[in-house]
Amino acid sequence: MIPLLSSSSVVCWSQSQASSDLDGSVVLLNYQNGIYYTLDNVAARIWNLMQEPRKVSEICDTIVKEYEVERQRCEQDVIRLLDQAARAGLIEVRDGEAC
Amino acid sequence: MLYRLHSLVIASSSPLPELPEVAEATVDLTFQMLPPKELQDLPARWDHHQPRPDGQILRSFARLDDCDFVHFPGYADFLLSKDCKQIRCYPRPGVPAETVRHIFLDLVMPLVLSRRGDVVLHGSAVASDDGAIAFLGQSGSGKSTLAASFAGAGFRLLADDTVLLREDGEDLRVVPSYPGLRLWPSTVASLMGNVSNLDWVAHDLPKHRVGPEHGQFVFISDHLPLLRIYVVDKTPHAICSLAPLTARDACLHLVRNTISLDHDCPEVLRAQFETNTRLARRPIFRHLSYPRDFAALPEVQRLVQQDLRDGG
Repeated sequence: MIPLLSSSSVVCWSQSQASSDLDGSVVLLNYQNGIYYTLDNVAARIWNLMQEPRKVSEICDTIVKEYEVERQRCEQDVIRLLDQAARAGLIEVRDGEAC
Repeated sequence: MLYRLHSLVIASSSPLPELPEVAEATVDLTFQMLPPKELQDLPARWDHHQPRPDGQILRSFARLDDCDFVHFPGYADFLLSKDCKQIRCYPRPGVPAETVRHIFLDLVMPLVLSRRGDVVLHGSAVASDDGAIAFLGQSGSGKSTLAASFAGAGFRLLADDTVLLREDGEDLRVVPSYPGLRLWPSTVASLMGNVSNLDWVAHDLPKHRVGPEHGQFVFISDHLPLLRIYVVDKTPHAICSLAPLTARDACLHLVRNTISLDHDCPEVLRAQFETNTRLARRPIFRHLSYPRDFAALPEVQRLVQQDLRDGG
């Protein structure tokens, strides 16, 4: 069961994935099921921010500083991306505590 | 009887005329062709089915306690010891020997090689004086035709359908397969002219097997440094194109074209991920697109030779 994501959730890379930076993109493998994924641009940046456990709100702080995006829109998009990543088994989600 | 395939010496209970014979050597694996069986006792459950392009099952895999079971419905069953040093084959009654040998050499042995830790890719490879180039692509993308076309233009042949790469630090080499090409009759007619007495690859696969005995192509067995990997596809347009691949796309093409017996084993998947991302960083990957027309092959050769010159 994946906890409902909010700006106070703490997220980090799952133990069952491997990832690699390739020319600004990130290639990911969930090696429990053999499915590969790729992330480009902002999504790759968000991914790299999750190497250590981090609050969703902190990720959004960084993104709004680095990219031209409104805070509310940023939070919606980041939560949508992280929800997909959690469902794919690529990240772990905790409610307000470290992974 | 001892034979060589890639760098392995195979001791076989039955003749494998497609492979070069070896006089005396340390045996890497044994192959036993057993009498045909109506129906081998099939495993209670399959771990994986691999479909053919038409949706039918090409082969099914089951991981048993003492061996891996690879089932080719209607053709044969292969039992592979866990260390892949012993392979037993039970053909179905009536399946011709050349068909069983084709399945063994071209469909089972690539899986065996993958278990031994080498990088095994779906592709063909040829060599110039400077090194090897490989063509990767899905079935029908024209890998064998390209290899034959380059062989007709002075390149030497290293591998058809299965390219084995061996990494040693920065050194990356192609380990040649066996001296044989599998070509559609239309490719033979276009590139080789009137050649008679060619064998068929299998009783229900209308491809010809072309070997060194036909005198058209030069096959070599040297391990050569890999200069380029061209990911090929056929375009409906009339123009050939060649462009560098990003490391991200190179990695994904390596994943798509990797042959593996252990596609459901997390440790193996993780090791392959490390290999694929490491290889993808090399500046050797190109995308090569060309029309489905034999007349385009000289232009493909020109583009590739130019690319090889530009890359030093």
